[in-house]
Amino acid sequence: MRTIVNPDGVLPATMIADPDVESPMSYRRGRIAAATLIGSFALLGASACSAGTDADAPAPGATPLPTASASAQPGAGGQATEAQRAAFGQAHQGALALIALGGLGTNQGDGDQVKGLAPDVTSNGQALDQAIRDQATAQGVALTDGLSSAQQQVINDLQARNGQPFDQAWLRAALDMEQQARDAANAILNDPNASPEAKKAAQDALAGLDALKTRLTSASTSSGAADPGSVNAGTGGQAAEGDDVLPIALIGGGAALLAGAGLYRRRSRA
Amino acid sequence: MWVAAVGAVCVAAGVALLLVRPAHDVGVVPMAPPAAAAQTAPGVVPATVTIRGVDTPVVPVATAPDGSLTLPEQPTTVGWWSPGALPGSAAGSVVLAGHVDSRVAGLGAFAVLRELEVGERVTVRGADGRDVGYEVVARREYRKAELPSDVFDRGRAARLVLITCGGRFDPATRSYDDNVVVYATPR
Repeated sequence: MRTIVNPDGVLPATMIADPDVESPMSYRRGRIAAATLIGSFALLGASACSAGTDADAPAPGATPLPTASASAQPGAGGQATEAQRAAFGQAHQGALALIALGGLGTNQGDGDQVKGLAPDVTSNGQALDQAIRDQATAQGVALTDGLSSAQQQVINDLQARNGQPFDQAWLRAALDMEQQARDAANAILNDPNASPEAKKAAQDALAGLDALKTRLTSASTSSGAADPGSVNAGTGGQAAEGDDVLPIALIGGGAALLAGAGLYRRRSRA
Repeated sequence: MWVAAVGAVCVAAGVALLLVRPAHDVGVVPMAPPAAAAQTAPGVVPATVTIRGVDTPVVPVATAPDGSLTLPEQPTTVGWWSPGALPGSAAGSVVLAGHVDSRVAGLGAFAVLRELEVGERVTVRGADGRDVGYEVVARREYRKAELPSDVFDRGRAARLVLITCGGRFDPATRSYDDNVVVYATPR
């Protein structure tokens, strides 16, 4: 079985069925891995899939990355705790944002790169959301459909663009989502109390995210969406600061005075 | 002796003037995260920017393969870095950059950035006719190699970032030493 590269999704590569070998077993195995990872995120209280505009500034209403132990247990009677319900809600929002982002890319994408990536983003978001719903149902958590205000702002702003500006911003939004998923997976790996299954799922997710980031970064760079490293904005010199004349005159005049004083002193001794 | 003393003072003063940079930094650079209760109405694609009553056309620009920001050739037009935030959005830096001058056309529309003071108004008009108003809160001059990468940050609270060149000019390379950056926040 070959390694499946996740081109886009928030969660693991194993969520995608091998396009060459459509195997219900491989897809089911992938969904189980994803569900395990999602469950671990929920137990950790992670905002695994919430898609804000900055990985360091969580979307409004989103909780920070995990602080709870992976060994935290559901509440009495096997029901999810408040933290777990919040984590499910954020993961669900993240999946919906992914679906919305993919759909927008399909409808409004200008270049081949976005048009090629967008359907995969949509399908991964749908698969992810189904796994989240399954887990939530199993734990008695009701999910509310709807994006966070920050996610909706991203979508609305993308809709206001067209052409290359759309493609560039779309790629940046996808990179943001990828980074947030990466942060969530690394949080699992760094948690000493995370289960081996959760860590394996997180490791698989990171492998897929690495491949996704490579594709997104390449597309972002070639489309001109990478952050600029420099701004060269002037070739005429008319606006140059004119403060070199005085200091040069002072240095020149001062040097002449010193030379003159030295010459006078030498002649006086002679 | 007094001639030598005067000469030494002149040399010292000249060296000091060459080494000491003029004070170009005013105000406080806005670095806050986005507001918790963010709006969801879309921003506007910028069409013009107005500074001190002068309207300047704005066109979308992107990052060149060499990593530099592509700018319109004419210094009378400025570029909006299009992967960045939209004016009117709840978060992120809206980056507009323009030539301070050009060899052929003389001073550019953004030559005024060197003089902008805290409290001055800047207005960006969208392609749909909506105006987004900003107020200058800071001005900085950075060595080009030290231009902060976070001027392009899309995750902070909404702000307008205006960039041009400044400082000393090298006639051999026809380039300036520094970037002049003006920060403004929505009003």
